[in-house]
Amino acid sequence: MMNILRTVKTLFTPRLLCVFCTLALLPFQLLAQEASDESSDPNLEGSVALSVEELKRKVIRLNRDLFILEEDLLFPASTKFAVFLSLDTGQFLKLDAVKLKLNDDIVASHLYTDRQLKALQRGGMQRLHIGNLKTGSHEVTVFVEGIGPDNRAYKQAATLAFEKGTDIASLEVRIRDRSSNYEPEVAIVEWQ
Amino acid sequence: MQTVADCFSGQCVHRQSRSTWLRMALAILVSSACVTALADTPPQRASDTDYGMALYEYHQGDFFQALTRLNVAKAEGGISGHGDHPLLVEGGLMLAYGMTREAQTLFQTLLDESEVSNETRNQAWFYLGKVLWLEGDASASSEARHRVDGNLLKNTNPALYQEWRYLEGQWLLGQGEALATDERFEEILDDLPQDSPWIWYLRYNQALQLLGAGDRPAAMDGLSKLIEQATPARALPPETAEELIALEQQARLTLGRLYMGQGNFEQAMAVLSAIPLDGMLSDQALSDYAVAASRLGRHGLALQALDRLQRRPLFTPWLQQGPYARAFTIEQMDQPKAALEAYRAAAGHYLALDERLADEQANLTEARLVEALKFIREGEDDPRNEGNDEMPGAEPSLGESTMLTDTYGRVQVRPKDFSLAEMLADEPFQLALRDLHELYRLSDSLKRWRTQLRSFDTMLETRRSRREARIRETRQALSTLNADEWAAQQLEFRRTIEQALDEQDAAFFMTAGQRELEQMLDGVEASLQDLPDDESTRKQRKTYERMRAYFDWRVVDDYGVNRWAAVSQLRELDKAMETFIGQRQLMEQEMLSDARLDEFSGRISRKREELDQISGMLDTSLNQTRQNLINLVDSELASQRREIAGYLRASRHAQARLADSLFLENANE
Repeated sequence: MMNILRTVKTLFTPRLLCVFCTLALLPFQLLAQEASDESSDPNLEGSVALSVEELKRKVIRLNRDLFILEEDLLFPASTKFAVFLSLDTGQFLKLDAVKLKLNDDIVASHLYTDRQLKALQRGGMQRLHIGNLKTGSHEVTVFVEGIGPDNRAYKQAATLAFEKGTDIASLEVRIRDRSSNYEPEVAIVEWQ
Repeated sequence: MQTVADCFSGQCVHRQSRSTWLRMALAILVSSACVTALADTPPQRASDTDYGMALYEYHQGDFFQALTRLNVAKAEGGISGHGDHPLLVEGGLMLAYGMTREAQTLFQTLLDESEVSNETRNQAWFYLGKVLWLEGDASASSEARHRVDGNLLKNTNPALYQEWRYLEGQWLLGQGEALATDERFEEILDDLPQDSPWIWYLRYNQALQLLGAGDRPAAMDGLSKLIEQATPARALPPETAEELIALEQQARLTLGRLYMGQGNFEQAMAVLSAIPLDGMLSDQALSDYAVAASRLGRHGLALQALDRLQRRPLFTPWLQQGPYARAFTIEQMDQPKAALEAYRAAAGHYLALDERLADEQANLTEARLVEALKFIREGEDDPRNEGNDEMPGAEPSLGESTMLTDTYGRVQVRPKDFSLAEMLADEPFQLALRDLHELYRLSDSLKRWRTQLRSFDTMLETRRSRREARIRETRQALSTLNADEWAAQQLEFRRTIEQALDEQDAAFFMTAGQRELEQMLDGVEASLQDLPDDESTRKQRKTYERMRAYFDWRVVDDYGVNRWAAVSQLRELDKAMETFIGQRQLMEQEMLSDARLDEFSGRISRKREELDQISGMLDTSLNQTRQNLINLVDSELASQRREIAGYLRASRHAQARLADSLFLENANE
């Protein structure tokens, strides 16, 4: 009976507290070491980690080759046409949606998530459309929607007439803040 | 904000959906502080579309696609207008994507190049130092970090500079040289902004080192100062507020436990009572608070803390002991009958729990494991959705690209089965889960490409059949041209001209007019032969002979001119025929084989082979990782069952002991 009582009391002794302390401090001790081995079998862990890293490398390379193959096959350089979208700061416009019209046909439309907006604000560039276009004169129009200054719904469009030659044609939809009138500016420019 | 102390001052309000997963996420938070500082680089307008697209993927946390984009750009001639920065980005991406060895190679290559700018070189040294540190090579890491020009890094990238200082501090700690008196360590702390989480990590780890060195008072002093210096939550910068609050709570918990270790339970309670009840560490805080109160004989407070702990839905070591500790506390309050009931309830609880865990352990599969976890999808972490766990739409599954991950690719996950809650905070589990998620993503990518390759095949097949139809049309058009006949005639023409040239046959090269004249002369000659042989005829014959002689002389005289005209026409004809034959041969060649389609076919079949190979490797790796994860869960469940068995045994023993003593008391009465 006394032994049981002792067992019970042990649960509340400093000895157990030290065990608890050790458990609780474990993540921080690991932080101090950062690269310490945590698995019971470091060699096995290492080999799995290595194989995963090697696999990632191989798949990235394969992905690259297949991307290039896909573009070569589907979009030959002589007819390739791409439209990119960039956002410069975006202080005066919280971009919501974009529609792209090429020669009277809607070829792309996109609704933006917060994550995508942040990516654009940090210098990212979205490929809004890729396709084939014959040589000659064409017209592209972009419709931008979002929340503009004073939290009001904002819509703006921009158009560009351009000549497609036998080289790859790339356009950029550039949305940037215009500090002169505190409004966003939407423009389509030919990518040089 | 409710605190542990509020709970006992009668002001506590029950929270229905307490987020203990947050507590579990502390360890992740701690390690994510080492986030690559690339995320903090200022926005830079992309001068290259490939680079812009890579940044777009990167800033959405899709490292795989970002790395692919950079590789595509490299294969297509590189990125222009950004100097070596894309390489640094690629190295940072590799680090974040768990490709430390590749990152190391890349940074070393960058440092070996002579044309690298000082700024890039400086950052490459920093990243190399960081990679080596992550790899556990402290001395090589130190060498690399010493090559970093601190002033240059401070001016070009302050975020990296702070991380660099942090690594220096960690290195000093690792060397055992950062005890309270170390000036270099203090210099590092002075150099970092006061609201920087790096300072917290360094100070906290310094306290731990002091504790490890046996200097408990200095460790406690360090932790006390750290807590005193804590900025109120409302004044913290939003991007680091959560992290700093978690760190303060961890410091309080550690200090509280150190006080308990000294037997200073009053102080322990005071320190622990400031930990919010909705904080990440409130389970431990409540448990410790109950222990401290119990040790001080304040069983009522201890019981309240344990009751609150027991009402929580999650399952952690601190909760496991709850039913037993509650019964024990009631017993300490000298209420044997109530304690007996509490022990009985505790035994029942542990028994049911053990049965459930045994069942889980016996039927543990990846599917069951995934079912026990709730993965967070993009947008679901929005505070506006808090409390609404049942977001519309299907449950996200491993490998899904919209699943939220941290900056090191760790999956954001909450427990649905709370027996896994504690394990979610473990680094090996997190890494195994991350690997499984990544491997599924890679596998999905390969599956998509497999489908795509099939559509490429269809596309090529269609192109081939269209081409064959065109060939048939062309052959038909060629046959109507009688091309072979023309070629034979040209050859015959050439042969005849060459023969006439050899024979210097002037008549052969006569012009059309001359041929007409010759025909006329031949006609005259024939007529003269038929005429009677009289004077008039003789005269006419003489005239004819003079005409014929003049004609022959003329033909001979014009031979050179006529021959030149004929030969130059022949040359033109040869040229035209040559072009015709060349084009025809080209067409024949084109018709026989299409190099372009063949090249595509070759590329497709090579890539398909590669894809099959990698798929095989991927399957093996997936199985290994899956098994690794299941083993981890199995060990965790086994360990929980062992712990529960201990509590069950103790509850039953206590039950028997109390029943005995109550029986004896009744008998004595």
